[in-house]
Amino acid sequence: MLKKEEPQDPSVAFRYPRVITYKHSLGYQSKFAHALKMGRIIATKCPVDGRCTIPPRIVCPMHHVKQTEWVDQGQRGKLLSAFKINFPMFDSRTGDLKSWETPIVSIELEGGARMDGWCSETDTEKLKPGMVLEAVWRPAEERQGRVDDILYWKPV
Amino acid sequence: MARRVGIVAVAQTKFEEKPGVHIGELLYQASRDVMKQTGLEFKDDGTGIDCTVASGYDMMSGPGGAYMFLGYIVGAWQREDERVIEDGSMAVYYGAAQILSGHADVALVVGYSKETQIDKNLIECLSLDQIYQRRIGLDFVSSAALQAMRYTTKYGITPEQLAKVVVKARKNAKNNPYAYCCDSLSVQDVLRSTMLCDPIRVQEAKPTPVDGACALILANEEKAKKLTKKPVWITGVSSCYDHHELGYRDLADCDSLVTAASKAYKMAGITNPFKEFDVAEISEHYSYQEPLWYEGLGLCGKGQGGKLIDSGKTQMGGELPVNPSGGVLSGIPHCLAGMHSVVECALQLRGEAGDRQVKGAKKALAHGVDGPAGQLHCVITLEN
Ligand SMILES: [Zn+2]
Repeated sequence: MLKKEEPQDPSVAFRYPRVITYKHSLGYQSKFAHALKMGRIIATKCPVDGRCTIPPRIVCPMHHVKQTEWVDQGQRGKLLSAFKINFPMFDSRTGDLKSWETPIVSIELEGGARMDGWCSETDTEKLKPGMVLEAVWRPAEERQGRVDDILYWKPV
Repeated sequence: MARRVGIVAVAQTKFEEKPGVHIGELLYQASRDVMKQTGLEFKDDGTGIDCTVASGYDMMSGPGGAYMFLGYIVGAWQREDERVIEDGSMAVYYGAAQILSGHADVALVVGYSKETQIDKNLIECLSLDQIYQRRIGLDFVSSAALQAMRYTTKYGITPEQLAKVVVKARKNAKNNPYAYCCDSLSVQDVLRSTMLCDPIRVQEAKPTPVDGACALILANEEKAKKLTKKPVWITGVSSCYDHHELGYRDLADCDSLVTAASKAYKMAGITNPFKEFDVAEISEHYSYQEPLWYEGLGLCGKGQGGKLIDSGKTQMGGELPVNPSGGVLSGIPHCLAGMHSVVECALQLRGEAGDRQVKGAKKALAHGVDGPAGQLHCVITLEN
């Protein structure tokens, strides 16, 4: 038994520095990634009700039929919702805590699919549902087929 | 068992490195296959599939694989959709429980593994005790090495006996079109291969990375008889966890497997497993595990696993062929192995195992394992 005067540490801190690299197989989604490199947003379309989905899906999540058609979603969309993180949050790309100046927005694209991104307007008071936003891309040579090839969405 | 659970359809993908295939495509392929075989879809009126049980280890593959993709891929969206993040045999167990309880009549059980997406040792290390073991560098491979050393020392199991396990696995895999590794190996080839983690050599460990998926449809007795002419009945099922801490166990024995097997056998009325089973599919991630699991499964006495290998009785054509598919040592991925054992046993009992068929097989033994040094075992007995 421990004597009362012996120290009893309540916790012990271990750091786990490591790099975890996942090689995510894109499969059929490689079309979407390739389109991003080209500065385009495309989505899979349901053959039953015509709804477009991002992330693109091999089968329609709602009707469970195979989706084979890809539809261009345009460069603009309507704002559905927006929020700003007011405390330091992890940047999943670097692993660092950082403060986020840019709001995160959810958008319904011209083609009907919905996607999320960052917004250049940092004053959330000015972000109203229904307003039109436009994609601002990284320079073509910097694009890697990832969603952050779209730098941010800018109010039109 | 008061009620009976029948396996009415099984499917598997080819096991191989599939860097260009999305997890969703793997799941779609396997689950669509069993749905096509039975003509079943997801229905809310009790005429189709009632629920899903899925296994897959999200951290091992990157995305929340099972959570993100499964619901919509198999059509389980807005339906009961359970997850098992353990060996796939536990998903079969859970699916059987859903039916035994009367909660569901028909269940879809699916599992996937996408080992090409991650260096799995990075993740396995995190499965060990965070205060006392991780910092030593223990993971599943090194835990297995500790067990291999202890087991072979205590019972005098020889390197040659263990090498024969690998030779048998690869030879059997030649008859299995789904297998990953089916190269001809000699005992000397195995013994000369690079040391991976003393005393385990590279050829004595599960080949990695491998991707693949399996699926089964389970049904209650009444529906199973309507859905197929060749139902395979789950007659007994049990699992058992041992201590997580390696030092709490004698690694030379596998007490949790003894318990899991005896409970499953009791349920199935099996008293002499070696004589009664016609075929077995056992999850051996390392060569030493096959003789050790023989012992735990009661196929031979303690310390007799090496002699059973020597006897040739577990080879194709022997009294009890073990792993006609080639098993895990020919490349069945982590997490999927036990489900794959059930799938293979079902094919054997349906007489649909092709070139690896054990003629006239009536009773089969399927086994899955997870955790460091065989912490969790699951035993499923099957009959046609
Ligand atoms: Zn649809």
